[in-house]
Amino acid sequence: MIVKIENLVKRYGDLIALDHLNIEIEEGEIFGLLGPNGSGKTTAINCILSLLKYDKGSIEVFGKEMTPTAYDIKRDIGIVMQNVAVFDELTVYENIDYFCGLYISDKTKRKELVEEAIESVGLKDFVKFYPKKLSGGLLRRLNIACGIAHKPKLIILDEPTVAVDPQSRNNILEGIKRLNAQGATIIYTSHYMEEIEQLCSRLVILDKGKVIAAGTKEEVKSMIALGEKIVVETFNITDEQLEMINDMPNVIDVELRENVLTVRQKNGASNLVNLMSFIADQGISYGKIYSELPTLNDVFLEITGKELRD
Amino acid sequence: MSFHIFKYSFKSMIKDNMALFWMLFFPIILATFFNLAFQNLTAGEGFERVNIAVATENKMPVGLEDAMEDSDLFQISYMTEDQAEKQLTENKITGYLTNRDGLEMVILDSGMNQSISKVFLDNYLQVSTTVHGIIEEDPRILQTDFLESINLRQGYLQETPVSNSMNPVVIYFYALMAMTCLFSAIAGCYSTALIQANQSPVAARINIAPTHKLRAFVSMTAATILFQMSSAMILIAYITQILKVDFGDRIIHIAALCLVGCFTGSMFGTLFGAVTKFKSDIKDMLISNIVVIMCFLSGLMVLQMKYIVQQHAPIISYINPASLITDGLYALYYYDTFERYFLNITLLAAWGLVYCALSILILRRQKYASI
Repeated sequence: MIVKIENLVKRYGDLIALDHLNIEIEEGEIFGLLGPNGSGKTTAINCILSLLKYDKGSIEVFGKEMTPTAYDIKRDIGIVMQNVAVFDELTVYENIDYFCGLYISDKTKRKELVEEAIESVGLKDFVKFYPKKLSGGLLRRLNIACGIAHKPKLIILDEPTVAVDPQSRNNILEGIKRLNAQGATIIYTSHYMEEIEQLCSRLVILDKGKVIAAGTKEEVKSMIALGEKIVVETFNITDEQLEMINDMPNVIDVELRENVLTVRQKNGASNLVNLMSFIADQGISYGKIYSELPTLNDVFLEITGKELRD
Repeated sequence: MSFHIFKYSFKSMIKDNMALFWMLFFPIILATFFNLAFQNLTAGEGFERVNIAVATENKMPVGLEDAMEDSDLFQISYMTEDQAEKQLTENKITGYLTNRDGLEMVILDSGMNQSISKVFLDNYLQVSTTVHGIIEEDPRILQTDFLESINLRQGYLQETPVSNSMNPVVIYFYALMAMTCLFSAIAGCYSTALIQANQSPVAARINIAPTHKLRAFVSMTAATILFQMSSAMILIAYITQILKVDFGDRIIHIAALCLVGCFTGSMFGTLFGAVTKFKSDIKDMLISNIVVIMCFLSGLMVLQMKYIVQQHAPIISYINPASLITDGLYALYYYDTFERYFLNITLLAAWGLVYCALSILILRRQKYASI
């Protein structure tokens, strides 16, 4: 077990930021912390890192209690902050060397690690640049390089792709997969469900400091009634026909918006065939038809009644 | 101490334009302005002889011109009365002496030089009339050493060596040195912010690293002191070598005082950073204002302030690091002994250690309720 959080409670005055949080993270996995802004993701990270004092519960990292002076534990942790945390007066190389030097004192080894980190985030052409001269995406990559250069066993990435262009985002996500393939355990927090779906083997969904769903992606998605969404482009469907679709087996609800019919259905063997037969029988004109599996957003929506990005 | 943190802290200060400006260039600019403002002030304090003409038409009393020469008060030139009149109207001379119907000093305006001339002549006439009167009454007195006992060739100016003079202008430069040393408080405050996780993302990242807070603190403080000490040394070199302001020859003692001043300044900034809960920008603004107030109380803007504080609230002189630095430099310059200097440097170091101890107590094992 790399991280074990038990009954963690953190309050800011009357506000409960973390409400009896329980998380276990195994070695070698990419663990996702998903939730809307203000759900408690960053607070949980800060508690794991012992930056924040908490009201109740316990945190173990690498099987030992995490404290502010647990330097042997800290040596194997890398953090990529939500906000870019670099010195404006130092160049790209100097920044990475500075933060790497807080973990690695051997100069020769450090030089190798810094160069490796620069290579892995694609900043080779910018080593002498000052942070102010970098674009948002490159700055994020520098932020990541500063957090991972010392090759930690546990890497915590707190929303590393916020305000990043698609090219840098892909670069970052690919880099995370590479780090994991090299053996690092990763905790990834985001409110972008696509990233969590793409990267994480297991996840928890947080809302108002509480875990509302936990497990593998499949396990989490199976917690809700929704099995699939069938989307049909239609042109002459009547209200009466919509009612009839709504009454079909496994159908949860029906929505028609700007000629796009969305039918949310429970798991069933022949949902799509049944719907297609009905449309053909009724002589309804149609265009594109496709079926979608439920997303993590659907899980969040069904459990909390609101969207992840609300 | 971590050389790695020390090296990069020093590097980032050198590359920080704002730090360079406030800690190095601003004091140099201020020193230049002080020099421009005060150089004529001291130059005006030197005495220039009064230009007096002696009219050549009439014979002057015997010994008068010699007495005037020996007084060191006058620059005598000889010319006709008409020429003297012309030069007087053109303000080339202060006055001229004639002896037409008795000895007379002709002047046009009133002023210091005119008063000097008039007082000298009145004194001469009074003494010579008295002597003539005594001799007429009893001529035998000439056979005694009476005349030798009368000193008409008296020097009126007293020269004092510059090193012992009370040149008040250097106090401004001392207060400026104090300000430069104490500006290390800004860097000290910034260093504290870097080891308090709730101050900035960079600070949080440093706190997460397996580096002991005290080790990081000592390394950053050492870099701050070195940087500020270098600034102070550059400023001293600029003031003494370029501006030619006399700081005396006890440079080692001055450097030692500056070093302790930088340490105390840095520790003061650290303590301020540790006890206050403001955000970094506000802390920087407040600490620089506090340093300026300290320097004001030690005479940076108004020279008399140093003496007012010493007279009415002497305790402030002992707790204000700027006053201790200023007074330490002052003691080095004006006194032959080191007693007052050592008192100042000891008090300064003591305050620095108190600030340091309090800062460590506060920062030790600090955890945060929110970030």
